[in-house]
Amino acid sequence: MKKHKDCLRSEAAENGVDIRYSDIIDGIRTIPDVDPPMGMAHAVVQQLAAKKIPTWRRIRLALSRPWTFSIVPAKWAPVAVCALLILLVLPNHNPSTPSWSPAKAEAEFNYITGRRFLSENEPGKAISFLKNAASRMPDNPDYHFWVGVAHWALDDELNERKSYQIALDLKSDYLPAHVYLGHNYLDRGLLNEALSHYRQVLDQVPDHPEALFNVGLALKELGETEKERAAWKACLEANPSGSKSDQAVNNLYSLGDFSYQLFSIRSMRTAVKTIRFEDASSRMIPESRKTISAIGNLMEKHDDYILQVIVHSAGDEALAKHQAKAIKKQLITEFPSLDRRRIGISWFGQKKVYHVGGKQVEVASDVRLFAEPAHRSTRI
Amino acid sequence: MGSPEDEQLIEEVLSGDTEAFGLIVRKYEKAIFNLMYRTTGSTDESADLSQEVFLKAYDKLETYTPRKKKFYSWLYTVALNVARDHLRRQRKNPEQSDNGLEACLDYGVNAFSIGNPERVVEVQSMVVAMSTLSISHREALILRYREGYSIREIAGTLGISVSGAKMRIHRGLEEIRLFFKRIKDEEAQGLFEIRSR
Repeated sequence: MKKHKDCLRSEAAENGVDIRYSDIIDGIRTIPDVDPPMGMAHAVVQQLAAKKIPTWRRIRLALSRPWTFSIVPAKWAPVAVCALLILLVLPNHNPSTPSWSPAKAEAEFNYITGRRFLSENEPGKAISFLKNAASRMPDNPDYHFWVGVAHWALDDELNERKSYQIALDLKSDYLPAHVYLGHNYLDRGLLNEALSHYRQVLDQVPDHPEALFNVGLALKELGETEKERAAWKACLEANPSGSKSDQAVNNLYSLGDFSYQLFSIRSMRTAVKTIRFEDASSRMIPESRKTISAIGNLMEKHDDYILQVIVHSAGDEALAKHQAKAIKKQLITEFPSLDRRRIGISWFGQKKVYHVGGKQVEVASDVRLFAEPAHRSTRI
Repeated sequence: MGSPEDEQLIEEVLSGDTEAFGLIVRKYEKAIFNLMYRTTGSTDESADLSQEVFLKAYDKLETYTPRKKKFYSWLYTVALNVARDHLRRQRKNPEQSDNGLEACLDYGVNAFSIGNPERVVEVQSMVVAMSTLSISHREALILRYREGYSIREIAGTLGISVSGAKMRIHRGLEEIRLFFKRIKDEEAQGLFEIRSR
C-alpha cells in the first residue's frame, strides 16, 4: 500500500503538479451527501400496494404457504340471526302491526346477506340477494344503491347507473348515489354529467374530498384550464392534508402554477400556500401568514426536525436574502419557543427551475420550505 | 455475500410483505438518491428515478442471488441501468452526465455544507471535477473511495473485469488530476474562478 502511495506521489511530482491522487481521494470522501426527500419509502410501498404481485412471486407464495380452510362462525352471525328471527317470528306474525311486514323482514335479510357477500368480494353472489331486497321493498333507496354498487363490482356500468338513478328518483338528495353516479360518468368520460352530480354533492357537503378532487379531474379532461386551476385550489383549501393533496399540487404544477407546495414532516404531509412577497420587497403578503402559522405549529410539535427555507429571486440575490431572513424572523416572532438554529435559510439570485412533464419551467421568485430530521442536518 | 439482515428482509418481501421492502428502501434510499443526483443534478428527477429503481428492484427481486453479490451491489447495478436509460431518454451520451453541474454547485454545496464554510470552495471544485467524468468512471471512484468496495466487488457491480475496474479507477483519478491541472494553469493566467457564495 505504502509503495502504491509513493508511486502516486512520484507520478504527480513527475508531472510537476501539486495535487496528488491521495488528495483527490480525500476530496472525493469530503463531497457531502444530499438527503433524499422525505417519505420516499412510504411512496414506494404505496405504489407497491397498487401493483400486481409478479407471477413468479405469486406461484412461490402459493407453494410456500400451508393451505388451510377455515370457517369463522362470527362472520356469518348477522345472517344467522336474521334467518333465525324470520323462522321464529314469521309464523307468529300479526299483519296488523304497522312497523313490521314479512316483505320488509325478507328484504332486510336479503340486503344483509347481499352486503355480506359484497364485503367478502363476491359480487356475483351479492347481486341476487340485493336485487331480492330491492324487489321486495322497491321504495328503499339504500337497496337500489347497493344493487348499483354490486353492478359496479361486476363491471356492469350501465346497470350500475340505472340503479343509482332509481335511488335518486326515490330520494333526490341521496348523497352516496350522487357521488357514485359522478364516478360512473367520470369513468365513462361523460364529464359534464359527472360534474353535475359532483356539484350536487358539494351543495350538500362543500368539503367532500372525492367530489372536489374529481371535479378537478373532469375539468382537466374538458380542457377548462382556469376552472381546473380553481378546482385544485378548492380541493387543497378544503383538504390540505388529504390523501389526494399531493396529486392536486402536482396537477397545479402541470398548469405552471406553483402557488401551493407540499410540506412533509415525519409521516405528516400537508399542502401549504407558497409564501409570496409584495413586489420587490421583503414584506410578505397577508395571505402568507397562514403558511407561517401552519409551518410554525408543525415545527413546534416536531422539535427533532429543522426547517430549511430556500428563496429564489431572479437577478437579485440581496432581495432573496432579505426575504429568506424575513421568513425566519416572522417564524421566530410568532413562535418564540422555536429555536432559531432550527431554521436554515438559503437564497439564490436566480430563477427557480421546475421540471414538469419533461419540460423545464422557470419561476422568477419562489420560496420552498422543507423539514428534515435534525440528525441528518449539518446545521445542528 | 449478502448481509444476514438484508437476506431476512428480502425473504420477508418475497413472502408478500411489502412493508419489509419499505425498510430496504429506507436503508438504501440515500445512496441511490445520491447516485441519481450525481447523474441529473435535479432533486425532483432524482427522487423519481430513485423510486423507479426501487420499483424495478422489487419486480426483479427473485433474480437476486445472495451468495453471488451483496444486495447493495445488485441494487446499485439496477440503479446504474436506470440512470443510463434516463440519459438515453434525454438523448444524451449515456456515459456522459454533466447536466447536473449547476445544481450540484447550488444545492450540493451551498445548502448542505454550510456547517464547514472554509471547505466550500474545495468541495465545490471536487463536485465540478466529478461531474465531468463519465458515469462508469465516476461511480467506480465512488464505490472505491466512499463505499470502501474492493476492486473485485466494483467489477461485479459495474459488470466488468477486475482489470477493467482497476483501469476505470485509475483513469478517473487521472482525469480529475488533469482537470485540476488545467484549472491551475488557467488560474495562473487569470481565466478561471470557481464561484462561491
